[in-house]
Parts: sequence; structure tokens; C-alpha cells
Amino acid sequence: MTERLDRWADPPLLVLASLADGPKHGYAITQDVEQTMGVRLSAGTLYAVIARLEARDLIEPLEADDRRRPYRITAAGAEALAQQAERMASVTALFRQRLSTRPGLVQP
Amino acid sequence: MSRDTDVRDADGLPLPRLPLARLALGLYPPAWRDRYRDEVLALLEESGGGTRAAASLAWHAVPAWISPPRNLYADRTARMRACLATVLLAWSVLAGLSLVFAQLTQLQGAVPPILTYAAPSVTLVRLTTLTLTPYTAIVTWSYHVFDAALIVSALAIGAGGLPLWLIMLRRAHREHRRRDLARLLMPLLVPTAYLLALVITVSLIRAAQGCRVAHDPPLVGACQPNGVGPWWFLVFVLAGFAAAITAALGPARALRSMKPRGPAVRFAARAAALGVGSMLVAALASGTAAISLYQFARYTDSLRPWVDMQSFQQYGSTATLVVYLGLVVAAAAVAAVSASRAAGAARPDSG
Repeated sequence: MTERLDRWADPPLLVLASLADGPKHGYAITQDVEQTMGVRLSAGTLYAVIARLEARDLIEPLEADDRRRPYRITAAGAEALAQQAERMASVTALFRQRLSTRPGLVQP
Repeated sequence: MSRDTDVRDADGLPLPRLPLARLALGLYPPAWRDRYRDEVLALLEESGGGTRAAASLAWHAVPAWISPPRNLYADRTARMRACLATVLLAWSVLAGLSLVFAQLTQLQGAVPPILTYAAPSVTLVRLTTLTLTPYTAIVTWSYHVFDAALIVSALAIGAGGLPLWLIMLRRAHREHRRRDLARLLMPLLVPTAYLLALVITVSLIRAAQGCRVAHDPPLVGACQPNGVGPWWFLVFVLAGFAAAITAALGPARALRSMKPRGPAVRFAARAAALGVGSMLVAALASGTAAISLYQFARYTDSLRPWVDMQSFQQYGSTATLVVYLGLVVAAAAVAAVSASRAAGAARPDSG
């Protein structure tokens, strides 16, 4: 069940989160997302997301290193990520609060 | 941009050639490929590009066509040109499907009101007439709407694209762009060649059958004075689609290489919206007629043990109906999205 919940992960958000600590190229993004967030992004998904985020000015391409082009999060992208993180934090707090009303439902 | 060269890693070892991924990348719009192809290949060379990666790439090519990222088209004229190329291809497929529909229904005299039948009782005759009449009315009206919409669509696409086509033709001639000249002439040359080949092949088939007299009822294995056999028909249909797509690909490629600008592009984009809109009406009418004929055929077939009537069995095939409607819906969706994007980019306030 835990693994199936990975399907709910939002790829644009994962890519923005991956770029939040510095520029990365495609392969580095997939590695980072897999290692830190446990979600494997396919090349098709990743570049569909990169194209959308770039079109919305949430990320920007940097000078290509050979054929690998790094991307950097923009100020608008960082703001969008921060807003989403706040929303997620409030939802998470709600989850925790509701689960706390049912002690014994979740095994420690 | 590096292409299909023998790529090696830092240690000089050859990297995988990724044939499936390259094939899947070929499905993307040219602007998308120009921008991301090398990056995707570099990623797959490091992470491995198996069947799954290629399938994922192929799947994501669909939204890349339907809703291409705006940043890939620097200005709205480039957007219009890209959308016009897609509209041309999708419209050609829809026109081909419409011709197949017309050939298989209207031109075969499949108008249900001509139906005659005899039943053992007057009540059964009345009941049959009452049940079949709505179908015949729907099919007849659908044919009228289909004909009118198809004519409007062909006129809009032809008249809307003509000024742009003439401007590009003159420029290709003036600048000695022989390849573009050939591409622009393809909508004339390819259908002409196809029709010539069709007429010659049909004549040869009928001559080989060695019979010029119609038999009633037709003899098994005898010539068919009004047409060819089903396999030949399938060959002609497939060749017709290949010809339609090839004819549309010519101007589509010329649009990409010549990059025309100006009011003729905007005019063509607006006409494309009208042409596709009319084609969608024609597609809807043909779909309605096809479904009604299908139900009519199934119903009459179920009555035939009791009522002596003409068979419409050929319209009762579920597989044929599903394939036809599936192709129409897919081509109509692509044409509608591209035409609306082209018209949107042609608006004066468009960014």
C-alpha cells in the first residue's frame, strides 16, 4: 500500500523540490528524486514536466554541458514550491490531528 | 545539435544506441525534438533506455502534439505554422475517412427508404415500417448534412490555404528552392498520380476478369462490373491514405523550412479553423449515419426470419464501426485542438 501511494506524487512538484537546492541536469534530477523522495521518474515523464515548468517560467535552462543541460529553479518556481509546501504542511497537520483522535489505529 | 553519431563516454567506451528510444523521440513535434532530443538521449545513455523508457516517451508524445509548450514557439507566427502543419495532416486523414464512408454507404445506394419487404401479416408490416422509419430519416438527413459540411470544409481549406500556397510557391521558384517547390506541388502531384494509378489498376483488374457483362445474380468468381473485390478495395483505401498523408506532408515540411510570415499565414490559420469546424460537423454526421445504419442492419437482420426484406448485413459489423469511429474521433481531436490553437495565435491580442 505504501508503494502504491507513490503514484499520488506530483512529478512537477518533485522536480521543483529537486532543483530547490541547486541546478541539476535530467539524470541528476531522476537520481535525486529517486533517492530522496522514493519516486522513479521516467525520461518521458521528466521531460514532459521540464517542458511544462519551463513554459511557465518556474524553471530555466542553463548553458549546456556537452549534451546535458542543467536547469535552475526561478524565483516564481521557488515561490510556487513554498506555497505548495505550506498547503501540504497544513494538510499533514490535519492528518496527524485526526489520526491522534483514534489512538491505537496506527501501530507505533 | 549532435545527431546519431557514435557517442562515447568519458572513458572512450561506446554508449548504447537506444534504437527504440530514438524511434519514440521521432514521434514528437519537430520543435520539441530540436529542443530536448539530445538531452533525453544523454539521460537515457546514463540511466538505460529499455522498452519501458521508449514506451513512456511514446506515450508522452501525444500531449506534446496536442498541447505543445508555448516556449517552444518563439512567436505566434511560428505557433500558427506548426498548428497549420498538424491541421493539414489531420484534415487529410479526416477527408480520406469521409471518402471511404461515402464510397461504402451513399455511393452504394445505401438509402434505407428504398427498402421493400413483405410480411405474413399487415400488423407486422406496419410495425416494421414504424420501427425502421426513424432510422431511415436519420440516415437520410445525416447524408445531407455530411455532404454540405464536407463541401464547406474543402472550400475553406482550399481557399484559405491558396494565398499562402501561392506566396510560398512564388518564393520557392524565385529563390530556386527546388526541394520546397517539389514539396509545395505534392498536393497536386500525389493525388493525380494516385487517381491515375487507380484508374489503370481497376481497368487492368476488370480486363483480367475477362467479362464486361453484368450478371444478375452475380456469378461466383465472375467479374464485378461496378467495382473490385474487397481485398483490392482495401489496397486502394490504404494507398489512398498513404497518398493523402504524403500530399499533406509536402506543404507541412515546406512551412517548416520556408517559415513564411504575414497576413497570408493568419488568413490560413482562420480558414483552417472554419475548415476543421465544418469537417467536425461532417464527421459527426457520418458517425450518426454509420451508427444508424449499423442499428438498422442489426434490426433488419433480426426480422429477416419473419419478414422478406433486403439484407443490410454489410453495415452490421461491430469491428468496422468501432475502427471507423475510433479513427474519426482520434483525427478529429487532433485537428480540433490544432485548429483552435492556430486560430488563437491568429488573434490580434494573442501574445
